[in-house]
Amino acid sequence: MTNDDARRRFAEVVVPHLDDAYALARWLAGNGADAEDIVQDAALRAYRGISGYVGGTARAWTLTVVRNCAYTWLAKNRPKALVFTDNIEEAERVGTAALGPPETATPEADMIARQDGARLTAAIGELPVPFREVLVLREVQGLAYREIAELMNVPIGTVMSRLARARKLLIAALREDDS
Amino acid sequence: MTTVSGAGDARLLLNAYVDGELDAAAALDVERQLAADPGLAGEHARLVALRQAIRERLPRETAPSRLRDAVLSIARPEPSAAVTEFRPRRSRGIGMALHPGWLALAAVLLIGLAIGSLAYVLTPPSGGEAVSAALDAAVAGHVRALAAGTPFDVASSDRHTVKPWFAGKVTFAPQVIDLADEGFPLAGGRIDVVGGSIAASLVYRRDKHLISLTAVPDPSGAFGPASRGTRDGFAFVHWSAKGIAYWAISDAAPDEVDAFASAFRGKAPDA
Repeated sequence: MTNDDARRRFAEVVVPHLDDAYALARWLAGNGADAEDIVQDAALRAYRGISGYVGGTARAWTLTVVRNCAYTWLAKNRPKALVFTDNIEEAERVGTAALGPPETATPEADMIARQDGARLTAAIGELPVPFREVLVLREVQGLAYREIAELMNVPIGTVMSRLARARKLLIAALREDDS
Repeated sequence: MTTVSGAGDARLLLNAYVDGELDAAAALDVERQLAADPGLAGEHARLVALRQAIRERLPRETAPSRLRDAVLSIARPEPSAAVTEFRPRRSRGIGMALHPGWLALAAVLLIGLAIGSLAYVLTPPSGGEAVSAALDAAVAGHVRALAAGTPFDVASSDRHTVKPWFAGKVTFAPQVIDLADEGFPLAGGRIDVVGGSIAASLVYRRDKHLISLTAVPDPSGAFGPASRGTRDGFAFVHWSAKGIAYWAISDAAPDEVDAFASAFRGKAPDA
């Protein structure tokens, strides 16, 4: 692949998804300045590795590169944020125990639907990275389960259980805020 | 893989149901369980509320312009600039301002302003075959759609139906604008191919005519400057904005197509 080809591929595959790339990096890093560093790094790697893109969803490919760069960055700068990946089952158990029996009242659903953006942002930011990541990929980026599974390189069942758990934790956190 | 018990399984399936990831048979199962189990129904209500809150209230992040500039500089044909001068966040001196890439960017901005104020200046074909081939492809898409009887793959006057339909089919998020008030009701959308890229085409109605608005990513401006005219008997208006090239094509009168393009650009924030 010539430089011209690489530049054209890069412009077609990566550049259109810059906003999504930045949004994902921001959610994973927790702030805009670090997200910019991550995306610049990811863009450079994507450019160098553009010949590895062999079709499929350009957005998912781009987000995969960003996600990998974000993990490298987290491992270096926020190692504690990643501790949970080793103890995910435990995190899930803790999450369940804190919830208690499900409630059926719709006022609670109303309370959730009324959340303002700042509070939601804070609550999502508090989620452990693996749960936050899968929630953002699904709800913010709108990826399908299968795309998320490929992007994170985990079985689809793991995507489903993490996503269900992420939402549980989030609902519990919002409920706690409210009481 | 995480193993799940029966109750946990129901919760995963409920999430998948809310996400629209279940096939019809599995969705029917979940709906039956929801009807029979108030606890599960309450959980469903909370999940739907959470999704609604996230979609409506969560602020949308867009990449800062300096980040955009830095990433775009990779795709600019200056090999040395591509990999070395790549951290404007920390180095934005006079050197950056005089960099050829920045001059090119400034030139593009000036051209954009000129086009904006003069409204579709007719320019002689430049860039040659790519520009002409792209127009041919866009027109061919319109003709093929008319000939097929159903000029769209998704038929809806609701932009909230049409826009998500494109997700996963094209590599960008096309702007879907409701122009019913301007006399151009939305009729649907379809997929075309322009310049080897997958394009998103919106179909609008004008009385008995159809107008196709074909959009395709064109970050390098390969599809040429703004232009208008007729091709194969169809009126067209072409322009680019924010790295997307647009063609409005119709068998309606050329001034109708102009009016459509103006209406769309007037209402679409990024076009």
